Amino acid sequence: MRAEYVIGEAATNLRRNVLLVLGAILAVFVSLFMTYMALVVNEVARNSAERWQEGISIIAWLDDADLADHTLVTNEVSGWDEVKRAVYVGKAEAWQEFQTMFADNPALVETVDPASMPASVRVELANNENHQAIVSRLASIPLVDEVDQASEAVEDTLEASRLLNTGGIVLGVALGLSAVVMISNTVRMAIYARREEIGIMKLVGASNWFVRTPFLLEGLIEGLVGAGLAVLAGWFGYRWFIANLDLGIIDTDVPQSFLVSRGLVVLAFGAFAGAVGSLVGLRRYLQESK
Amino acid sequence: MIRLQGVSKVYDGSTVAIRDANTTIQKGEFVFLVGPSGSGKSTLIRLLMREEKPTQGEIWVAGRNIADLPDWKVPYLRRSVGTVFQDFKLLPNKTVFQNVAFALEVIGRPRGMVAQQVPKVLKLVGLSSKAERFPRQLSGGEQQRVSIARAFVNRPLILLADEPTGNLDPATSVGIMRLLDRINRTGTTVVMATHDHAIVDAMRRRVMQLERGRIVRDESRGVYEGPAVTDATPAVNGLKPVDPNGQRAAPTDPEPSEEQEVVTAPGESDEG
Repeated sequence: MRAEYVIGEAATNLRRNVLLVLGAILAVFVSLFMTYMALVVNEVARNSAERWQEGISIIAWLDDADLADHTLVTNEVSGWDEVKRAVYVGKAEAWQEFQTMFADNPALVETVDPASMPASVRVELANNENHQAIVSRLASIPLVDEVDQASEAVEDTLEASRLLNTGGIVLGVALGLSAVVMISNTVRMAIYARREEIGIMKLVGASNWFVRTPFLLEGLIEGLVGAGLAVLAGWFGYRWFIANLDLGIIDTDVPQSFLVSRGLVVLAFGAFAGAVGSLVGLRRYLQESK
Repeated sequence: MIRLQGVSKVYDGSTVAIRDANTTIQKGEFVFLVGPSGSGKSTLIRLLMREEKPTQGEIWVAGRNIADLPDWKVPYLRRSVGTVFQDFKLLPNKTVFQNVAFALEVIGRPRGMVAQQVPKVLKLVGLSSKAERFPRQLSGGEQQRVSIARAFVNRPLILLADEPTGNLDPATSVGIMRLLDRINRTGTTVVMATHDHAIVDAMRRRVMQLERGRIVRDESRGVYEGPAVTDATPAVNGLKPVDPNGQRAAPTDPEPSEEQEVVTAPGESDEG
């Protein structure tokens, strides 16, 4: 009878204030959807950045010269303590690489003369801290024409993802707060609508938790429904996104387990927001005697 | 059953509602609280049900000092203290039966007990035939009977009534008083705040008179207007022959209800 009663009362509360309840659910939905998406996008960016970083981080383009000279340079660079690996990529290999990279753009490939492809030494560092020093040392080698830092792109991506992440979280938290306020408002309205009943319940000695539980449940339901919708929308939105948008080199695959675990986190957060919201709403109206 | 020790209640740091009240009420007593509006009757009732906390002093109810009862224990106090008010406080969307049953349901009493106790108490208040009616379909007197049934259904030790006849005509009031008397005879202590001279004078029970927050008179078989009042307010004296609350100035239509039978003095009535 107890559980039946509590659920029945909560359902009545939800039905009585449909608009407000929808508003609260919407607020939870928007805030948690943002948060969920921020988590996913961040994961995508982190994955891609990691994959790039695994490989070469500095490219030293070489002047056209004898293969022997190129080998000398490569060997020299290989010998540096800070360098983990230095790989020579000759003109022919560079051409091949170029062809694969732009396989979907034959027109571009045709305009390029294979002979103009520069050879290069791809350097992988043992430790990223020496980055700047190595770059200038490479640049000082006479045969080196230009030094490109692949890591700049990586850094940019990481930086962008960090910004996106922070922005998403800040927005999520701000919207989350508004969701809590919305929930506390609906609970307050529900309490107001039933103030007579609550007054009598307190008069005849209903325990505080007996009075509070239906309202707590109401907030909890609002939080959970909003969070559930956010997870569903996020899940299908992400599916749609990877199916319809090709970002080329960016690897958009995120493991299913990641989506599920973060989805659970989002649901828990929704429940938490609901509970906090209803407690805030309950606080003022159910105070005891002064 | 009830003991007040040096009880004072001050609102907002300046308005004194109760000043240094000391008294003892035995189990099974019937006590009238009388006095003009603002004399502190209602405050005293509210203190006894822990709607308010005293600013000073101790209030012992059923062996507990409710002045420092923690908030979470207040519901348990209320289960042994029934309350009845002038405005009935019934839920309009519930039937008579549901209104009374509500009091048992919300304190988690099992269904079987509700099904058993509610008809019993409805019979006691004479509303068995109207169990499925809604409050709006009842007369004022009947509504007050429902409210008394609700207060009594859990068999409280104490019944507090704050002007229970304040909205009722004299004949109906007598019916309500007979009911309260009957409840009192089951051993329930009754404390009733009232403005009603006729009732107090007819019942001849213990009368406690309040003036500006002080208990100025306490007689065991008293009447409304005591001889020893020192601090009576001129306003009351000026209005004397008329009922001071003015709520029963016009004669009301006779109620087509169970109260009709009653015209005798309630104290002498003898019911089952």
